[in-house]
Amino acid sequence: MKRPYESPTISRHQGGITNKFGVGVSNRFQSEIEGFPISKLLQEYGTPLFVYSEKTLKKTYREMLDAFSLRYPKTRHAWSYKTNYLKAVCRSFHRLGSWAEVVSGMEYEMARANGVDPRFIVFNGPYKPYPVLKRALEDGAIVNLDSLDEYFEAEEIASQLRHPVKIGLRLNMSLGTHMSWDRYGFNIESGEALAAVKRILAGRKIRIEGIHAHIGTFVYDVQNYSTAITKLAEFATALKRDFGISLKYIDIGGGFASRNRLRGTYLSTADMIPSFDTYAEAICKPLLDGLTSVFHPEELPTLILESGRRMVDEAGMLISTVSSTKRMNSGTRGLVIDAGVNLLFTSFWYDHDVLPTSDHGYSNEDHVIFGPLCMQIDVIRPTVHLPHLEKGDSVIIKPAGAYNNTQWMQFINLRPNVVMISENGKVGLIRRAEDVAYLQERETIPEWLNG
Amino acid sequence: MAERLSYLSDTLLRSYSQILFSESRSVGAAILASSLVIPAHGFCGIFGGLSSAAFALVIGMDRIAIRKGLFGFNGVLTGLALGHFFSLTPQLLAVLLVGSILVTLLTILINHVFMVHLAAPAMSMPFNVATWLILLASMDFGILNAALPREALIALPWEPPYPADLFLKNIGAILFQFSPLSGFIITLGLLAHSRIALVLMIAGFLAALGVQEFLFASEPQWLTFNPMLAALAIGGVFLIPGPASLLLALVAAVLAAILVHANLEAFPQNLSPLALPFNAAVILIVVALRLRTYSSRAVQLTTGFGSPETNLKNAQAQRKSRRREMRIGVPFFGKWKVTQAIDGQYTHQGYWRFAYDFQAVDSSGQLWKGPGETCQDFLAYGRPVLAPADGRVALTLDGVPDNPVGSINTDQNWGNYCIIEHSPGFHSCMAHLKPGSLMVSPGQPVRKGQPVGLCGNSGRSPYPHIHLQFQSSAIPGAPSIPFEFQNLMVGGASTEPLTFLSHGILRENEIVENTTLSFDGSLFPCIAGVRWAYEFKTSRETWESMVDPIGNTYIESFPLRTRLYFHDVEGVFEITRIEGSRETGLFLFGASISELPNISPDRGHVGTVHWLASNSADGAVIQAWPPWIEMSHLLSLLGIAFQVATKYQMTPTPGRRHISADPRLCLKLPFGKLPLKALPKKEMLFADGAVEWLSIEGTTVLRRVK
Repeated sequence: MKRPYESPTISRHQGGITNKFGVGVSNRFQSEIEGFPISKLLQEYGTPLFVYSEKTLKKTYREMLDAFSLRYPKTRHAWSYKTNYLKAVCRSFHRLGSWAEVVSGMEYEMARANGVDPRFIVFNGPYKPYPVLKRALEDGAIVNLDSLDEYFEAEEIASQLRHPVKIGLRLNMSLGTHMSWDRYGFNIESGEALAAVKRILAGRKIRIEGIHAHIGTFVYDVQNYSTAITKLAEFATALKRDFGISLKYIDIGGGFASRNRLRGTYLSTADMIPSFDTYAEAICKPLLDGLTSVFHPEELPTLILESGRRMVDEAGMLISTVSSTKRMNSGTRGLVIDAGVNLLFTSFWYDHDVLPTSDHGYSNEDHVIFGPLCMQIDVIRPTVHLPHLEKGDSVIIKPAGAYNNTQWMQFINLRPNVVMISENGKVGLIRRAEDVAYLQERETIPEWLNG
Repeated sequence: MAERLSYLSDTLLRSYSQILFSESRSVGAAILASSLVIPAHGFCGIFGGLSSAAFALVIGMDRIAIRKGLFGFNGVLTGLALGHFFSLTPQLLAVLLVGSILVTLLTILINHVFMVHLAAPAMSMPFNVATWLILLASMDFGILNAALPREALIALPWEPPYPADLFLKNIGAILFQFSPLSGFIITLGLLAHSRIALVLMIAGFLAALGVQEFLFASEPQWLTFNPMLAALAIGGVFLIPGPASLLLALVAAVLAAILVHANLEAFPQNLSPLALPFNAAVILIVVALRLRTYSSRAVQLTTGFGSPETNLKNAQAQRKSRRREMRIGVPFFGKWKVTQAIDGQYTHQGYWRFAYDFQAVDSSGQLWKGPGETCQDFLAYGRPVLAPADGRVALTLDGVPDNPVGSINTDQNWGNYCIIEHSPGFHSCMAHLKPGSLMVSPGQPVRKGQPVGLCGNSGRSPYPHIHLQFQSSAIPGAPSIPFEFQNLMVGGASTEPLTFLSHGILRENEIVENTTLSFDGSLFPCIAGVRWAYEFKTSRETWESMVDPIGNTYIESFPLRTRLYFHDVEGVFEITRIEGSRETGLFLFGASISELPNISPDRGHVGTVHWLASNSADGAVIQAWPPWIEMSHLLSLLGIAFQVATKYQMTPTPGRRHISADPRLCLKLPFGKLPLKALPKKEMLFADGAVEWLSIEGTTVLRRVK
């Protein structure tokens, strides 16, 4: 068979510092997604294209549930809407049994529109304006309060409602090496959290049903979770012992890392990213140990997980096409592709995997990949080893499922099609590409600019 | 005054009915009527009964016991006996009065001695002893004349054929009445009261007749009533009716028949053995059963008095409630696979038959991740092992090291273990735990579901697994005893449907987990005062959920009152008892289901759940053939029963649970179940913590109104 042409390259050698990993060459490419040739997908749906795999989503969900259900009697997963609020993605999770986790009125309405029972919507976040808070409390959602101001509003709402109002408290705590995000909720160590509990009990209008702590994002050192859950368990034990409050849930939030390469780290994802079993062991063991002294087995609070990134990142991929090539002054080859930080916001922090979609031979040359925007910082990968790609060749960028479809921009280019491949091999369009009319739909011209 | 009259009539009538172990006044009236066929004779019976009861009242015995006829029936028998042997004169009545007092005193003494020392009933022993003493004494009383043969006031219009005439005469003989008419009246009374009793009497009679023919025995005079009463007592009064009790009843009858001849030879000519053979046979058997070491379900002693049919129903209800007292769950979180079950081919043999081995699985059915070469690769390793039921830790062992995968330690067979005592003679043993992981110590109380250690690979264990068995002592390695699990979810893997197991055993390769409480609470809120309004067929009814002073939760309907008692525990809604009117929608609802697992999608149980329930057939359930129900009680003597086996299916969607029930009438035979007729299919919907509607064969009969 005729071997593909490999152009000769000129690599600059740098003396002095040797790369301890050596210079690796590989011939990695991916020409199909679950049996669908990428070229056909591009033909039918255009470029660039987001592709989601229901199979991967389900597999990841089951792995997560398996790991936790073996270690703690009652675990529930609440799908974190901010990670991806495409209806098809959300509904896929809800069908598997996930609750919803929202952080704004907008997300709350999205969850309601997806048919989620409000009793299974976890409403977190620092911004809950009065009408939004009222609606959530009226509906009986699981609201975790962020501040005393929020509590005072909740108290007022509770006196107007006929049914009892239950809330949870967002807590933050010291994790040893660093503070969990300290702008949210009530601090445990300073006594702020306990004072809030006492104030709520004195108010007599609202019942405390649960506690919540979300310690960070892309947390790959599981000791942080162990510390956090130990402190949550201690707090729950103190509430039961000292105030007779038997909590119904303990929410450990999300933040599980996905197999993406965080910029500035050097280990491979296989070595660095913990498995669900590792997260589960780090969370469930201290939790069970911490609670069994005062909680009877049938009283144990439900453990709520809000993992978003880890659940969906690997299920999503972005396919993009090279529109032009350059040779930079440093000698590095540059590729301009039709997807940039407007579609892949997460490339500001992560080095996504970029693979050619057909066999171009060995990856023997360093490349920088630029997006289509006219911003110098629109860089998908500042450095990546790829074979010699030309205009019209396409690449697949992954994992792209988390945050990219919520943080993408309507900037310079229109947002493209999003498709999902079902478990039994059907391709369905889940979001249509935008057009200019859609973009300008909400604009009006004031009368002084007419004519 | 009315109260006194009712007390008097109760005492009198029940004194007669207790002769046949009944508390029914109508049976008593029938027996009383039969004794008045020869009025003078019958009068003696009434006199004897009332005197003995009166004396008991005067000296201060328990009034309720007197009202039940327990002090009167021996007096009635004494009166009838003396009235039979002697003619009715004032002197006889005086002697009878003394005899009644004697009988009452003997009743108190013999009851006490028998109950305390033998745990056996005294039955008519006081009558026997009192009558013997009076008969012996009366040999010295010249004034008492032997009775002349008396003619019955009326007689049966026709002569019953052999052996029916003998049967009727012997029934009458219980009351010293030898006319077939008396026997006939008593038989009618018995037929109305308990068909099983009548069948047992006939069986006893035939057994005695058989003995007579087989052994060419001499005429037992009129003492054949002894085997008949013995069969009744053993077959349905002191034991739960069933095929084994029937056999034992025949044994009792044969025993009594033999004892009749023994007594006839032993006693002097002018002293009749009376009811001694019957009492002796029954007491011997009952005492032996009370003192037995192994109790079997086939032969069960009753705990109280009632007609055989009532005993049968109570036993069935008790069997259900006993299950509820000790709920045994699986000792782990999540879904595990049964890798070896009862009579498993590897190690669950012989003394250790009744045991289970469990290993954790993931959704694709894998027991290990990666190469599976180390203990850590196995999903079960290090997982919490839970107490299967409430109890107290009896014995633990720690320090046995884990084996490498594939090798076993036969020196310390059980490895690290935890033995928990759940009730005296009922212990559980979880073996092969991880060294250093025991979280409890002997003497510590534990709750069901509480972690006691971690799963390891110690002892005779080549792969990390939990071994669970129940045994009667706390010694490790004690023989295992059979048990049933309650409230499990089985299956749910891609190829098997998810099934709810309310009680039962597990089989190899089944995937199983405990049911757990739903986050959003129970199917019915267990608080008092919640009301729902319904339209049932053409009328309206209201349901209200309540709690009684003892703490039982129930739902009551108005205006027609039905009470539905229920339990809601471990995520399973169980109906324990239905009382009251059968014409309400609440009754229909209760008769349609017995258990409902509280599955909802928020628990991650997505998809349809199936389960089976078997209940004894009830008139309301069958709804068409009430006479068959009485027949069904008779059939239980042969181990045959009518049952309704229902296949349930529940499909949960957010906030709603749709349930369909497919009942089928079955005949339960000793060797299996025979399906008969399919009964009307039912469907119901639960939403917002209430029954929304119920339909039969597609037609909605019950609907909630807002």
